[in-house]
Amino acid sequence: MGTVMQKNYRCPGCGVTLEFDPATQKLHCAYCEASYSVAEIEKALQELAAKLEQIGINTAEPEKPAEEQKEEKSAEDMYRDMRETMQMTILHCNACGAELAIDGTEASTFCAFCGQAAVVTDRLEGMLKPDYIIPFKVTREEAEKTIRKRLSKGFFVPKKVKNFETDCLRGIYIPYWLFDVYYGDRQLWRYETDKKTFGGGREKKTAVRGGDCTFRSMTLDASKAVPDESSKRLEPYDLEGMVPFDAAYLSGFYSNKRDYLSYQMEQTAIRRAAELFDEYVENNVKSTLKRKKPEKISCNPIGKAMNPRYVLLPAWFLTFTYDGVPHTMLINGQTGKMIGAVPYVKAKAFTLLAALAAVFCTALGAVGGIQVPWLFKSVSEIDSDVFKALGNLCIVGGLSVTALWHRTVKNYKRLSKSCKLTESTVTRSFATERQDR
Amino acid sequence: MTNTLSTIIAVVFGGLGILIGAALAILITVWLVRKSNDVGDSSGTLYDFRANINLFDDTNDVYDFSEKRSEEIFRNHLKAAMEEAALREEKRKKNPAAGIPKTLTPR
Repeated sequence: MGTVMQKNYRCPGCGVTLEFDPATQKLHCAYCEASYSVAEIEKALQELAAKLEQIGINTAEPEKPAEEQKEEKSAEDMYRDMRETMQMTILHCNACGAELAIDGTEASTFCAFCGQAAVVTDRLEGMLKPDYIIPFKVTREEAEKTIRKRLSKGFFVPKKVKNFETDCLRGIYIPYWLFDVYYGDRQLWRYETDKKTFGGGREKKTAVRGGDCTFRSMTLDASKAVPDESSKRLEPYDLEGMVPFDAAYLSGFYSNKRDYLSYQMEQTAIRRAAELFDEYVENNVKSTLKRKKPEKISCNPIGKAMNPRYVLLPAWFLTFTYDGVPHTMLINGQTGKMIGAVPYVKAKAFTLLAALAAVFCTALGAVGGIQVPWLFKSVSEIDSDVFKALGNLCIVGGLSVTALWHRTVKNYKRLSKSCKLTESTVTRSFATERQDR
Repeated sequence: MTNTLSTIIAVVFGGLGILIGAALAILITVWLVRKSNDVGDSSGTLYDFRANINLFDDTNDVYDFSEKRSEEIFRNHLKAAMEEAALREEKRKKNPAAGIPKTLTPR
């Protein structure tokens, strides 16, 4: 493997490494408190290089030998991409010379000894150069404050979680692909009408739904290390905030290069478009036909993913431990949207359940046990009409229980899914197994 | 109505009422716990794409629905979408900030 190149954005005034500050959207020098916009720092660095060249010091990166360039070109080869992902690379810090270990996909990190930010330029060049980036807008402090504030509000959140001690909080740029997806389908739906047939069944009819849609800038996670479910939940990002990529935005944050090439994500993009389109059509069919279970009998989909753009999107990963289990909460680094679920205090939940059950069971039990017989007290004998009325009441009651239970299970499944994602070791490893500052 | 029948009705409907009450209590508890401890939506959202959907429908029997016609519609739309994407890509090359959707609202 060729040498790994790294770059540091240094303050033109004092030479200390600059870091991107989400609050001012500028590169900030922690030593002399100076701030520079990305354009200013690029200009200042060019001027400095020109001055140094005048006095005979060459600051340009040494040109790579032809063989190495050739190797770099073939880096787009999928096999090498996969192989690189598995490997660890050792960098030498430009400031203190310490060794930094990074995995095959990290594109920016910090020195564990002197805390200096380092951008691995090799992983952001050529075909690996992102087209756009959304710079961090949420600061480190804001991210932690948002999580603390939200968790402290939760009635069922354990006290230890409310006052959690942060194990690690990292701002990471996640690689995504953006696609414009064209998707169209022609579907035939079979439904039953109210008209009865001679055989005793109901008349069946066929309805057609066809349509198409262009999903603009559909976001798809291009990293293997982040679970798709987690990255999906960070959406939506406001894509109006995208700016052309500049490595200076990475200074002071962690980042990863993409693991997938655009063509590998095309089918995923089309699948996602299909899910969204089908859901829309199904809702339309149910609402217009006013039938609960129309049946899709055929479809003829067509989909094309176009205009791929490689972007880096910001996210904060906060990890804390509760009951020996690490939990990772995520925050969208642009909009501040927080995602994650924490365990609940079982005693509180069961007390509330008992109280609610006592109230509802007494009230509804009384209605059913006293009110219903009272309604029928004037009836002298049970004829078919009374029997029918009682039967209908039973059916309504049974259906209500089923519907309530169905909703409960749905809610519980969502909560468990969120808890599982928050406790996911994959997400935790992605955030924590990096060089500390 | 006889006393026995009245008792049977009371027991059946009383039991049903208790069942509904218990189901309601469990649902409210789970919902409250979720509201308190689960932050963010669990499914993930995309911006509102519904305005971009062109849907044509026919609720009547459509055995005679012309496949050729709908095929034609798709091909034309696909062609237009590809042309639009190519145009946007060209614009983006000239001005990198172009080609980004104007309005993105959470669903």
